Amino acid sequence: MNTELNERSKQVRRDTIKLSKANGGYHYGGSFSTVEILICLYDLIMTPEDKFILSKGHACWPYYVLLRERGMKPKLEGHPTLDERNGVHFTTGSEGHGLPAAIGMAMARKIMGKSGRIYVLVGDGECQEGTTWESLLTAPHRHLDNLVVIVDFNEIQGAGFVRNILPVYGLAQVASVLGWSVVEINGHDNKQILGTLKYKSTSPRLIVAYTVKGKGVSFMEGKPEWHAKWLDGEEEKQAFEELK
Amino acid sequence: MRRQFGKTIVTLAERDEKLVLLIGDVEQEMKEFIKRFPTRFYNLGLCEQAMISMAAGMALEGLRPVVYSITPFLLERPFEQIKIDIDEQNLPVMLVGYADYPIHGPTHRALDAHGLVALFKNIVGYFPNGSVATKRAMLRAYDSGGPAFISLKKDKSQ
Repeated sequence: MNTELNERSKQVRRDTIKLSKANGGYHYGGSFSTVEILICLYDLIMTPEDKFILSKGHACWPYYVLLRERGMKPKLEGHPTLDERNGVHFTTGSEGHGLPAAIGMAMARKIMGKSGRIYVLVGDGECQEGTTWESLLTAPHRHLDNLVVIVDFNEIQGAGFVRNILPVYGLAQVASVLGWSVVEINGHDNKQILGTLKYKSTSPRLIVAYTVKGKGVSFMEGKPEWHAKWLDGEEEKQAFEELK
Repeated sequence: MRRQFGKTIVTLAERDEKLVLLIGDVEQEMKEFIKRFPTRFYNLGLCEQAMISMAAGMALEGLRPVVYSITPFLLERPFEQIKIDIDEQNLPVMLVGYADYPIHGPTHRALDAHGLVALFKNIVGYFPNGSVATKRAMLRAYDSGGPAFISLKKDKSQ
Protein backbone atom coordinates (compact mmCIF):
# COMPACT_ATOMS: atom_id res chain seq x y z
CA MET A 1 0.00 0.00 0.00
CA ASN A 2 2.29 2.70 -1.29
CA THR A 3 -0.32 5.40 -1.06
CA GLU A 4 1.17 8.90 -1.20
CA LEU A 5 0.21 10.96 1.82
CA ASN A 6 -1.27 14.38 1.21
CA GLU A 7 -0.48 17.45 3.30
CA ARG A 8 -3.47 16.95 5.62
CA SER A 9 -2.40 13.36 6.38
CA LYS A 10 1.15 14.48 7.11
CA GLN A 11 0.02 17.38 9.29
CA VAL A 12 -2.21 15.15 11.43
CA ARG A 13 0.70 12.72 11.87
CA ARG A 14 3.05 15.55 12.87
CA ASP A 15 0.49 16.86 15.37
CA THR A 16 -0.01 13.32 16.64
CA ILE A 17 3.69 13.03 17.45
CA LYS A 18 3.73 16.43 19.18
CA LEU A 19 0.65 15.76 21.29
CA SER A 20 1.62 12.20 22.12
CA LYS A 21 5.19 13.03 23.14
CA ALA A 22 4.09 15.99 25.23
CA ASN A 23 1.73 13.75 27.17
CA GLY A 24 3.81 10.60 27.56
CA GLY A 25 2.14 8.62 24.76
CA TYR A 26 3.91 6.06 22.59
CA HIS A 27 1.42 4.04 20.52
CA TYR A 28 2.53 5.33 17.10
CA GLY A 29 2.10 2.22 14.95
CA GLY A 30 -1.61 1.71 15.53
CA SER A 31 -2.20 5.46 15.57
CA PHE A 32 -0.68 6.06 12.14
CA SER A 33 -2.62 3.21 10.53
CA THR A 34 -5.88 5.02 11.42
CA VAL A 35 -5.10 8.56 10.23
CA GLU A 36 -6.77 8.59 6.80
CA ILE A 37 -9.87 6.82 8.17
CA LEU A 38 -10.19 9.39 10.98
CA ILE A 39 -9.62 12.34 8.65
CA CYS A 40 -12.29 11.15 6.21
CA LEU A 41 -14.78 10.59 9.03
CA TYR A 42 -14.19 13.86 10.86
CA ASP A 43 -13.46 16.21 7.95
CA LEU A 44 -15.97 14.94 5.42
CA ILE A 45 -18.43 12.30 6.57
CA MET A 46 -19.84 12.70 10.05
CA THR A 47 -22.79 14.95 10.82
CA PRO A 48 -23.66 16.28 14.29
CA GLU A 49 -26.15 13.46 14.85
CA ASP A 50 -23.54 10.75 14.21
CA LYS A 51 -21.27 9.25 16.83
CA PHE A 52 -17.79 7.79 16.54
CA ILE A 53 -16.22 5.33 18.98
CA LEU A 54 -12.52 4.54 18.92
CA SER A 55 -12.66 0.97 20.15
CA LYS A 56 -8.91 0.50 19.67
CA GLY A 57 -8.34 3.09 22.38
CA HIS A 58 -4.53 2.98 22.26
CA ALA A 59 -4.72 4.85 18.92
CA CYS A 60 -6.05 7.86 20.78
CA TRP A 61 -3.54 10.55 19.76
CA PRO A 62 -4.66 11.32 16.18
CA TYR A 63 -8.23 11.10 17.49
CA TYR A 64 -7.44 13.71 20.15
CA VAL A 65 -5.75 15.86 17.47
CA LEU A 66 -8.93 15.88 15.37
CA LEU A 67 -11.15 16.58 18.38
CA ARG A 68 -8.90 19.44 19.52
CA GLU A 69 -8.99 20.95 16.04
CA ARG A 70 -12.74 21.22 16.61
CA GLY A 71 -12.33 23.06 19.89
CA MET A 72 -12.91 20.04 22.10
CA LYS A 73 -10.71 19.15 25.03
CA PRO A 74 -10.60 15.39 25.64
CA LYS A 75 -8.60 14.18 28.62
CA LEU A 76 -5.08 13.58 27.31
CA GLU A 77 -4.33 10.11 28.63
CA GLY A 78 -3.09 7.02 26.83
CA HIS A 79 -6.63 5.68 26.36
CA PRO A 80 -9.86 7.70 25.98
CA THR A 81 -12.26 8.40 28.84
CA LEU A 82 -15.96 9.06 28.29
CA ASP A 83 -16.57 12.79 27.90
CA GLU A 84 -19.45 13.42 25.54
CA ARG A 85 -19.12 17.19 25.45
CA ASN A 86 -15.56 16.74 24.27
CA GLY A 87 -16.35 14.14 21.64
CA VAL A 88 -15.44 10.94 23.49
CA HIS A 89 -18.55 8.75 23.47
CA PHE A 90 -17.17 5.69 25.25
CA THR A 91 -14.29 4.79 27.55
CA THR A 92 -12.00 2.41 25.64
CA GLY A 93 -8.60 0.82 25.95
CA SER A 94 -9.51 -2.67 27.04
CA GLU A 95 -10.18 -4.35 23.71
CA GLY A 96 -13.60 -5.57 22.65
CA HIS A 97 -15.79 -3.01 24.43
CA GLY A 98 -16.42 -0.43 21.71
CA LEU A 99 -18.16 -2.64 19.17
CA PRO A 100 -20.88 -4.05 21.47
CA ALA A 101 -21.33 -0.55 22.94
CA ALA A 102 -21.87 0.80 19.41
CA ILE A 103 -24.42 -1.96 18.84
CA GLY A 104 -26.25 -0.85 22.00
CA MET A 105 -26.28 2.73 20.71
CA ALA A 106 -27.50 1.68 17.27
CA MET A 107 -30.21 -0.50 18.84
CA ALA A 108 -31.27 2.35 21.11
CA ARG A 109 -31.66 4.63 18.09
CA LYS A 110 -33.87 2.05 16.40
CA ILE A 111 -35.96 1.69 19.57
CA MET A 112 -36.31 5.45 20.02
CA GLY A 113 -36.67 6.32 16.33
CA LYS A 114 -33.54 8.49 16.36
CA SER A 115 -31.57 9.05 13.18
CA GLY A 116 -27.81 9.27 12.67
CA ARG A 117 -25.16 6.61 12.30
CA ILE A 118 -22.82 5.01 14.81
CA TYR A 119 -19.26 4.55 13.56
CA VAL A 120 -16.80 2.36 15.42
CA LEU A 121 -13.15 1.71 14.62
CA VAL A 122 -11.72 -1.60 15.83
CA GLY A 123 -8.29 -3.18 15.42
CA ASP A 124 -7.65 -6.51 13.71
CA GLY A 125 -5.95 -7.87 16.82
CA GLU A 126 -8.97 -6.70 18.79
CA CYS A 127 -11.16 -8.94 16.64
CA GLN A 128 -9.77 -11.92 18.55
CA GLU A 129 -11.94 -10.88 21.51
CA GLY A 130 -15.05 -12.98 22.12
CA THR A 131 -17.26 -9.90 22.26
CA THR A 132 -16.43 -9.26 18.58
CA TRP A 133 -18.05 -12.55 17.67
CA GLU A 134 -21.01 -11.94 20.00
CA SER A 135 -21.40 -8.62 18.19
CA LEU A 136 -21.05 -10.11 14.71
CA LEU A 137 -24.03 -12.35 15.49
CA THR A 138 -26.12 -9.57 17.02
CA ALA A 139 -25.98 -6.64 14.57
CA PRO A 140 -27.53 -8.33 11.50
CA HIS A 141 -30.17 -10.02 13.66
CA ARG A 142 -31.20 -6.59 14.96
CA HIS A 143 -31.16 -5.05 11.43
CA LEU A 144 -28.71 -2.31 12.41
CA ASP A 145 -28.35 -0.45 9.13
CA ASN A 146 -27.26 2.57 11.20
CA LEU A 147 -24.01 0.86 12.29
CA VAL A 148 -20.69 1.13 10.46
CA VAL A 149 -17.74 -0.90 11.75
CA ILE A 150 -14.30 -0.18 10.36
CA VAL A 151 -11.55 -2.72 10.99
CA ASP A 152 -8.08 -1.17 10.92
CA PHE A 153 -6.42 -4.29 9.49
CA ASN A 154 -2.77 -3.41 10.04
CA GLU A 155 -1.75 -7.04 10.71
CA ILE A 156 0.23 -6.28 13.86
CA GLN A 157 -0.84 -6.49 17.49
CA GLY A 158 0.93 -5.87 20.81
CA ALA A 159 3.47 -8.65 20.72
CA GLY A 160 3.84 -9.40 17.02
CA PHE A 161 2.04 -10.27 13.80
CA VAL A 162 -1.64 -11.16 14.06
CA ARG A 163 -1.12 -13.98 11.54
CA ASN A 164 1.37 -15.67 13.89
CA ILE A 165 -0.49 -15.03 17.15
CA LEU A 166 -4.12 -15.72 16.23
CA PRO A 167 -5.12 -14.93 12.64
CA VAL A 168 -8.45 -13.24 11.94
CA TYR A 169 -8.38 -13.54 8.15
CA GLY A 170 -11.82 -15.16 8.01
CA LEU A 171 -13.52 -12.11 9.49
CA ALA A 172 -14.87 -10.62 6.24
CA GLN A 173 -16.20 -13.94 4.97
CA VAL A 174 -17.81 -14.83 8.30
CA ALA A 175 -19.43 -11.40 8.63
CA SER A 176 -20.74 -11.64 5.09
CA VAL A 177 -22.30 -15.05 5.76
CA LEU A 178 -23.88 -13.68 8.94
CA GLY A 179 -25.62 -10.89 7.00
CA TRP A 180 -23.28 -7.91 7.19
CA SER A 181 -22.64 -5.74 4.17
CA VAL A 182 -18.88 -6.24 3.82
CA VAL A 183 -16.34 -4.32 1.78
CA GLU A 184 -12.55 -4.50 1.69
CA ILE A 185 -10.54 -1.36 0.92
CA ASN A 186 -7.12 0.24 1.11
CA GLY A 187 -7.34 2.11 4.40
CA HIS A 188 -4.93 4.83 3.32
CA ASP A 189 -6.70 5.69 0.06
CA ASN A 190 -9.03 8.61 0.71
CA LYS A 191 -11.08 7.96 -2.43
CA GLN A 192 -11.80 4.38 -1.41
CA ILE A 193 -12.51 5.34 2.20
CA LEU A 194 -14.90 8.14 1.25
CA GLY A 195 -16.61 6.06 -1.42
CA THR A 196 -17.40 3.28 0.99
CA LEU A 197 -18.37 5.56 3.89
CA LYS A 198 -20.88 7.39 1.68
CA TYR A 199 -22.58 4.15 0.74
CA LYS A 200 -25.89 3.61 2.55
CA SER A 201 -26.27 -0.04 3.31
CA THR A 202 -29.51 -1.81 4.25
CA SER A 203 -27.66 -4.05 6.70
CA PRO A 204 -24.88 -3.37 9.21
CA ARG A 205 -21.73 -2.38 7.40
CA LEU A 206 -18.29 -3.91 7.97
CA ILE A 207 -15.39 -2.16 6.26
CA VAL A 208 -12.16 -4.10 6.34
CA ALA A 209 -9.55 -1.40 5.78
CA TYR A 210 -6.14 -2.87 4.93
CA THR A 211 -3.55 -0.54 6.42
CA VAL A 212 0.13 -0.31 7.27
CA LYS A 213 1.05 -0.10 10.93
CA GLY A 214 3.15 3.03 11.42
CA LYS A 215 2.15 4.37 7.97
CA GLY A 216 4.03 7.51 6.93
CA VAL A 217 7.25 7.02 8.86
CA SER A 218 9.61 4.59 7.12
CA PHE A 219 11.28 3.13 10.19
CA MET A 220 7.89 2.44 11.84
CA GLU A 221 6.07 0.92 8.87
CA GLY A 222 5.22 -2.74 9.37
CA LYS A 223 7.42 -2.99 12.47
CA PRO A 224 5.78 -4.71 15.48
CA GLU A 225 8.01 -2.86 17.98
CA TRP A 226 6.33 0.42 17.02
CA HIS A 227 3.05 -0.79 18.48
CA ALA A 228 4.28 0.80 21.70
CA LYS A 229 7.67 2.48 21.72
CA TRP A 230 9.00 5.78 22.98
CA LEU A 231 10.12 8.06 20.15
CA ASP A 232 13.57 9.42 20.99
CA GLY A 233 15.02 12.71 19.79
CA GLU A 234 16.84 11.47 16.67
CA GLU A 235 13.90 9.33 15.60
CA GLU A 236 11.57 12.24 16.13
CA LYS A 237 13.72 14.43 13.90
CA GLN A 238 13.68 11.84 11.13
CA ALA A 239 9.91 11.33 11.48
CA PHE A 240 9.28 15.06 11.10
CA GLU A 241 11.64 15.17 8.13
CA GLU A 242 9.66 12.40 6.39
CA LEU A 243 6.33 14.06 7.25
CA LYS A 244 7.31 17.48 5.91
CA MET B 1 -38.87 -12.01 45.24
CA ARG B 2 -38.74 -12.96 41.57
CA ARG B 3 -42.53 -12.58 41.40
CA GLN B 4 -42.19 -9.14 42.96
CA PHE B 5 -39.51 -8.32 40.39
CA GLY B 6 -41.99 -9.33 37.65
CA LYS B 7 -44.62 -6.98 39.07
CA THR B 8 -42.37 -4.03 39.85
CA ILE B 9 -40.64 -4.09 36.48
CA VAL B 10 -44.08 -3.61 34.90
CA THR B 11 -44.80 -0.69 37.26
CA LEU B 12 -41.48 0.93 36.36
CA ALA B 13 -42.06 0.40 32.63
CA GLU B 14 -45.49 2.01 32.91
CA ARG B 15 -43.89 5.04 34.53
CA ASP B 16 -40.92 5.38 32.18
CA GLU B 17 -41.07 4.61 28.48
CA LYS B 18 -37.26 4.64 28.39
CA LEU B 19 -37.04 1.40 30.36
CA VAL B 20 -35.93 -1.64 28.34
CA LEU B 21 -35.48 -5.14 29.74
CA LEU B 22 -32.49 -7.13 28.48
CA ILE B 23 -31.95 -10.78 29.30
CA GLY B 24 -29.24 -13.30 28.52
CA ASP B 25 -31.75 -16.09 27.88
CA VAL B 26 -32.77 -16.32 31.54
CA GLU B 27 -36.49 -15.59 31.48
CA GLN B 28 -38.10 -15.62 34.89
CA GLU B 29 -41.40 -13.98 35.90
CA MET B 30 -41.45 -11.75 32.80
CA LYS B 31 -44.59 -12.92 31.01
CA GLU B 32 -46.59 -9.86 32.03
CA PHE B 33 -43.80 -7.47 30.96
CA ILE B 34 -43.37 -9.21 27.60
CA LYS B 35 -47.14 -9.13 27.00
CA ARG B 36 -47.45 -5.45 27.90
CA PHE B 37 -44.17 -4.16 26.39
CA PRO B 38 -43.07 -6.54 23.62
CA THR B 39 -40.98 -3.88 21.87
CA ARG B 40 -39.05 -3.13 25.06
CA PHE B 41 -37.98 -6.69 25.79
CA TYR B 42 -34.76 -8.12 24.30
CA ASN B 43 -33.43 -11.60 24.80
CA LEU B 44 -29.89 -10.97 23.56
CA GLY B 45 -28.90 -14.61 23.68
CA LEU B 46 -25.85 -16.07 25.38
CA CYS B 47 -23.67 -12.98 25.02
CA GLU B 48 -23.23 -11.97 28.64
CA GLN B 49 -20.17 -9.80 28.07
CA ALA B 50 -21.43 -7.98 24.97
CA MET B 51 -24.81 -7.57 26.68
CA ILE B 52 -23.28 -5.36 29.38
CA SER B 53 -21.50 -3.15 26.82
CA MET B 54 -24.71 -2.98 24.79
CA ALA B 55 -26.64 -1.89 27.89
CA ALA B 56 -24.05 0.86 28.46
CA GLY B 57 -24.39 2.00 24.84
CA MET B 58 -28.18 2.10 25.21
CA ALA B 59 -27.91 4.14 28.41
CA LEU B 60 -25.67 6.66 26.62
CA GLU B 61 -28.43 7.12 24.03
CA GLY B 62 -30.99 7.84 26.75
CA LEU B 63 -32.59 4.46 27.47
CA ARG B 64 -32.81 2.95 30.97
CA PRO B 65 -31.72 -0.69 30.57
CA VAL B 66 -32.51 -3.32 33.18
CA VAL B 67 -30.32 -6.38 32.68
CA TYR B 68 -31.52 -9.65 34.17
CA SER B 69 -29.69 -12.94 34.56
CA ILE B 70 -28.58 -15.26 37.28
CA THR B 71 -25.89 -13.66 39.42
CA PRO B 72 -22.80 -15.63 38.32
CA PHE B 73 -23.60 -14.98 34.64
CA LEU B 74 -24.54 -11.36 35.30
CA LEU B 75 -21.84 -10.23 37.69
CA GLU B 76 -18.91 -12.60 37.40
CA ARG B 77 -18.65 -13.54 33.73
CA PRO B 78 -18.68 -9.92 32.42
CA PHE B 79 -16.94 -8.42 35.44
CA GLU B 80 -14.62 -6.14 33.46
CA GLN B 81 -17.47 -4.90 31.25
CA ILE B 82 -19.32 -3.92 34.42
CA LYS B 83 -16.20 -2.28 35.87
CA ILE B 84 -15.51 -0.09 32.82
CA ASP B 85 -18.73 0.30 30.89
CA ILE B 86 -21.21 0.64 33.75
CA ASP B 87 -19.31 1.60 36.90
CA GLU B 88 -16.48 3.75 35.56
CA GLN B 89 -18.81 5.54 33.14
CA ASN B 90 -21.43 5.82 35.92
CA LEU B 91 -24.39 4.93 33.70
CA PRO B 92 -27.99 4.30 34.77
CA VAL B 93 -28.10 0.56 34.20
CA MET B 94 -29.91 -1.68 36.69
CA LEU B 95 -28.42 -5.16 37.00
CA VAL B 96 -30.79 -7.69 38.53
CA GLY B 97 -29.32 -11.04 39.50
CA TYR B 98 -31.07 -14.14 40.74
CA ALA B 99 -28.83 -15.85 43.25
CA ASP B 100 -30.51 -18.86 44.76
CA TYR B 101 -29.38 -22.09 43.18
CA PRO B 102 -27.97 -24.06 46.11
CA ILE B 103 -28.19 -27.46 44.42
CA HIS B 104 -27.36 -26.74 40.80
CA GLY B 105 -23.61 -27.06 41.04
CA PRO B 106 -20.72 -24.63 41.11
CA THR B 107 -21.51 -22.96 37.77
CA HIS B 108 -24.79 -21.59 39.11
CA ARG B 109 -23.52 -20.41 42.48
CA ALA B 110 -22.16 -16.89 42.83
CA LEU B 111 -19.11 -16.10 44.92
CA ASP B 112 -19.63 -13.24 47.33
CA ALA B 113 -21.87 -10.76 45.47
CA HIS B 114 -21.75 -8.37 48.45
CA GLY B 115 -17.98 -8.32 48.28
CA LEU B 116 -17.86 -7.95 44.50
CA VAL B 117 -20.34 -5.08 44.37
CA ALA B 118 -18.53 -3.32 47.22
CA LEU B 119 -15.48 -3.01 44.94
CA PHE B 120 -17.29 -0.63 42.60
CA LYS B 121 -17.18 3.16 42.86
CA ASN B 122 -20.67 3.98 41.65
CA ILE B 123 -22.79 0.83 41.53
CA VAL B 124 -25.04 0.60 44.58
CA GLY B 125 -25.85 -2.92 45.74
CA TYR B 126 -29.26 -3.88 47.11
CA PHE B 127 -29.78 -7.20 48.89
CA PRO B 128 -33.46 -7.23 49.85
CA ASN B 129 -34.73 -10.03 52.08
CA GLY B 130 -38.38 -10.24 51.03
CA SER B 131 -41.03 -9.14 48.60
CA VAL B 132 -41.72 -5.70 50.09
CA ALA B 133 -38.03 -4.93 50.35
CA THR B 134 -37.50 -6.05 46.73
CA LYS B 135 -40.07 -3.58 45.47
CA ARG B 136 -38.59 -0.81 47.59
CA ALA B 137 -35.07 -1.59 46.39
CA MET B 138 -36.08 -1.60 42.72
CA LEU B 139 -37.94 1.71 43.00
CA ARG B 140 -35.11 3.33 44.93
CA ALA B 141 -32.44 2.02 42.58
CA TYR B 142 -34.34 3.13 39.49
CA ASP B 143 -35.18 6.57 40.86
CA SER B 144 -31.56 7.14 41.92
CA GLY B 145 -30.68 7.49 38.22
CA GLY B 146 -27.36 5.75 38.85
CA PRO B 147 -26.04 2.23 38.33
CA ALA B 148 -27.36 -0.47 40.64
CA PHE B 149 -27.18 -4.17 41.36
CA ILE B 150 -30.16 -5.94 42.93
CA SER B 151 -29.87 -9.45 44.30
CA LEU B 152 -32.98 -11.66 44.24
CA LYS B 153 -33.61 -14.85 46.13
CA LYS B 154 -36.17 -17.59 45.73
CA ASP B 155 -39.77 -16.83 46.74
CA LYS B 156 -40.73 -18.64 49.94
CA SER B 157 -43.59 -20.61 48.39
CA GLN B 158 -41.47 -21.93 45.50
